[in-house]
Amino acid sequence: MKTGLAASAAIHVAALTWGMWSLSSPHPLDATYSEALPVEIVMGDTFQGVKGEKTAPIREKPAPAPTKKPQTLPMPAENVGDNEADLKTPPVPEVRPNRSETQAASAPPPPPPPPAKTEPAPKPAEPVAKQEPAPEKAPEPKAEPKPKDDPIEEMIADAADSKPEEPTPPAHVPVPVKKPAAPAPQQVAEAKPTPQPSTSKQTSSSKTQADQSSDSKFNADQIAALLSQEKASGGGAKRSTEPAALGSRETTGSVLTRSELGELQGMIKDQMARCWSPPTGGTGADSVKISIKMELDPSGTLQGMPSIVSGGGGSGVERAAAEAALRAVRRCSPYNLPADKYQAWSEVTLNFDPSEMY
Amino acid sequence: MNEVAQSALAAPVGTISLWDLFWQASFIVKLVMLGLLGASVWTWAIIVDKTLLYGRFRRQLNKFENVFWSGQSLEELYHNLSERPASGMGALFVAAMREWKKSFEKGARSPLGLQTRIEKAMDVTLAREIDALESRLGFLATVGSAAPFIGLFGTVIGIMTSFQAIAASKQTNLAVVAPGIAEALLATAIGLVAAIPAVIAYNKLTSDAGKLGNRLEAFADEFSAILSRQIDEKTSR
Repeated sequence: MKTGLAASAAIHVAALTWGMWSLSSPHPLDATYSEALPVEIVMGDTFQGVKGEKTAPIREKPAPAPTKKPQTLPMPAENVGDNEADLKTPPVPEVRPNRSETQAASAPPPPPPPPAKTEPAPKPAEPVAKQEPAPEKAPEPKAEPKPKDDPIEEMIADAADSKPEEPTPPAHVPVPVKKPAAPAPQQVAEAKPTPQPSTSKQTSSSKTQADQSSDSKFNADQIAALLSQEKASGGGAKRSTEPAALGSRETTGSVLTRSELGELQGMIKDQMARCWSPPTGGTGADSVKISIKMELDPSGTLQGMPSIVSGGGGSGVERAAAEAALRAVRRCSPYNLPADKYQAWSEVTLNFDPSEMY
Repeated sequence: MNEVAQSALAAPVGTISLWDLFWQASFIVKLVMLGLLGASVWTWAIIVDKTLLYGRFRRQLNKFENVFWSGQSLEELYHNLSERPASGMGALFVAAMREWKKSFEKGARSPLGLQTRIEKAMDVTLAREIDALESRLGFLATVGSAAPFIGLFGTVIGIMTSFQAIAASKQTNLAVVAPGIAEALLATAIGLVAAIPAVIAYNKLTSDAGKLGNRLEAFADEFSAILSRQIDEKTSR
């Protein structure tokens, strides 16, 4: 019997030792007990307020579609021209025509010199002899303009003569340049013919009127002219180098990184934890899921009534749970959240899910 | 809210090794577990012991039968065997021969009475041998049938205790409930661990003991027939 007992004891000791080792540490189940408050927070549209593409897939950072740049010089060119990029469109004058136009446009605005230029020109030639009495009103203008007239007139004459020529040389592009340039000389030509036919006071009166009118326009036009001296920059597209990603049409706010979003969610959760007690007991109390939408003002106080988005219908238990959740949302009301991210938490959806409690 | 979370975290999640389960159990459950463990140890002791004994016994029977049927004279065989305590067939043979010798030495001349006495002596020895073979098998039968119930008793007590604890702590968190139930179930597990080998071994050992007993009985009958023939030969002279 002794041998049997000894053998049996040995077997049991061995079995128990093995059991201690193999059964001592079962793998814990994937239950997350740390999830104290099962409130899930859905921030409005995270990608709202940042420029991107409406149809593009979601990425970390919203971005508009990248702008395409035509291929530049080191490329097989097929069309004639001096362009950096090989375009099929015929070469068109680029810079000069613009300037001449702006000059032409600005030429009327600096009316103070022009009236003096264009009108005085006839005066000295014809009216000086004839109309000595008349110029009572405008002796000064005459006197002053006269000396100036010659150089300016020459200038204008030069301009009139040269303008048709000017556009051609500056334009990088050869032939068709002349056409756009044409309007500028026309204006000058119009200005010139008028003074020549007008012989008498009419001209002077017209001058004075023109002067007055030009004086009245002076300020605004002058400013416009000054402003327009600046090189005009066109309304080009903002360039994006990143691939297109979901976003809104315009940038209206700052985007939240994921960590910032998580931080915000954590703050709301923590604050909700103080106010919400999950429904206990009752059949199916655990399966009740309620989501509540609330709007907050920048100070963190509740704005308007929080509304139940889903859940809370049906049984009395569910209704009670929904009411409890609503009460919690109201009780917590002044939420303490970072004001600079108000864009993100202005509208918050809370999902209450008691089944995640245990 | 926070209390629940904290207690859930503080609950002994990792401490559910066998030893911890045993140590956290209530007094009665501990007693049940220890008793079942002892029963299991004893069961296995019996199993080992009986297996060895039957092997030895079977070998002795074979050896004796070889010697007995080898043509050796019975007197010589008796001299060899009676010097040391014999078991099995040897014991039967020695008992029968002793009765035979006593009767003839005293000069008793009643053949019928001698025959009866020899058979009685052999019966007694046979009964003793079979008793020795089957001793303690009853314990295996008891463990096999009772151990599950004892384990179940421990489990019921354990679950009762843990439910009382839950009621006292007013928490239904699974982390609070689980260890108590686990330790309670351990009692049933030990009961089953003890009972299953006991039942299997009991069936095996009883059938083995029955076979050995049959062989002994067959030999006793055969030997008594031989002696009866001898008595007839002697008395007829």
